[in-house]
Amino acid sequence: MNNWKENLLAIILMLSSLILDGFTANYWSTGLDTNYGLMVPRMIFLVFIILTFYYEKNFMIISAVIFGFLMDTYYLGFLGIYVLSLLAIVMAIFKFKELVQANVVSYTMLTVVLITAIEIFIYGVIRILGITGISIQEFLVEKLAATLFLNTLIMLFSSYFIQKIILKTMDKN
Amino acid sequence: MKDFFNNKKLITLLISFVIFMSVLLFTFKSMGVASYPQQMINDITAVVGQMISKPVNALNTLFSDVNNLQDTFEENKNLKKELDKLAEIQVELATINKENEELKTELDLQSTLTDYDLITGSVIARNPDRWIDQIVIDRGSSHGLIKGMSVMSNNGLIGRVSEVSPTSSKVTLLTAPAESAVLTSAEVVLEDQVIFGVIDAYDASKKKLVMEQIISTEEIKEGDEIVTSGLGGVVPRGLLVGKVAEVTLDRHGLGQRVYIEPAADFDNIRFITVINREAELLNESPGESE
Repeated sequence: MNNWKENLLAIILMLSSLILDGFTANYWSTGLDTNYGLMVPRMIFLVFIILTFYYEKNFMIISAVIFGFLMDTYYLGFLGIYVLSLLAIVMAIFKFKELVQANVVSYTMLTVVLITAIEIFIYGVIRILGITGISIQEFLVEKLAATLFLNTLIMLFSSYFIQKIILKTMDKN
Repeated sequence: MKDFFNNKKLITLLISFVIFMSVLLFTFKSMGVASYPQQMINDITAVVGQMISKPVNALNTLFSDVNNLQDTFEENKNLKKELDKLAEIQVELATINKENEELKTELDLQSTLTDYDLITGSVIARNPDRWIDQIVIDRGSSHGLIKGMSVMSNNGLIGRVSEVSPTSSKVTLLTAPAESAVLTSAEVVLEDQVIFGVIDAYDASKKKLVMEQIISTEEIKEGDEIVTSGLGGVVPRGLLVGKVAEVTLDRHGLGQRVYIEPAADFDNIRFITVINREAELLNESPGESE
């Protein structure tokens, strides 16, 4: 069972990434809207991918529900989408944990796979609800490709440092 | 594969799916009207968001002030010239205001389409995925905001308040997709007349607002100003939306379609002004335009 310092670190990482997603979308909106499509920062998904390798299942499931709820309420105004997305990431990582080691390469590959799946799921739900009318081709070209590129880069450059902080906190305890 | 479909996991999966669909549809139906727990969560998260956005805004202002210092001498010269004209305009404005007040009193008018108060604030965050193009601002019901109020930034209209919590609110931008667009009644200001229409979409490829339902056949030229008309009972009259960038026929070929270069910069929204219209706000049901 993780002690309170480890749990606190996880909560700080999750909360910071949740706030940073919205902050980045506002302050770098010109930079994110490129000729190759709209890049959507998904730092909270990346943080969940890394944390799930090191934390217990119950803790991660509860965190996924709470932070998914926070994201749905704060950014969308209706509930369900991000709760399910974060839960899906946690459950998927717990299956993948048995097959891959926790390192930058694994994180990056899982980022590509999971963000593709989650983005398609979110697009599907948004499309069914009638919030958007863009076709799946437009979505794949104008949103998914650019989003994958951005988040893969973020994962490549930041995962090593996040991993180090987690391991350092766990070693001290 | 066989293990995954054993009874316990399948039942858990089905129950989760039912819960997900129920929660999603229930909260989507009441979108825009946040429950008390949602309001509390919005406010707490907004406070954390402000811990990052306020210092960054301050730094941003500092850097742009330093930049502006470099142009101070030229700007000072131009400003002195404009000051000479300003005194004249101020006298004229005072006379017009006095006349306006006298006419209102004579006609016993309580408030008109152009009367409004201003509530200023700053942007804390923006919805990262932009499926619903919304920003979160640091003003809420405790500052006098109610759902439906118009919001401006950089001297141009940017959208409307779509959800209110005690100390924060969500603003749906005019750049939202057509299916969830903020419909705004507007007018093209010509020399001798006014042409009415509705801003009902945003063309993301051209980065222009789209105004349709223009019945008039009068010629609209590039550069003509577009302001809100005040009709519909939600937005006050006279708020600048932008300028005409292009005029074409609408999809049916019967009316005109105007592409508007927005006055506001939707990619650089830091500070906002919420317009509190004094004339009675009509109740707006979800999905209705103004």
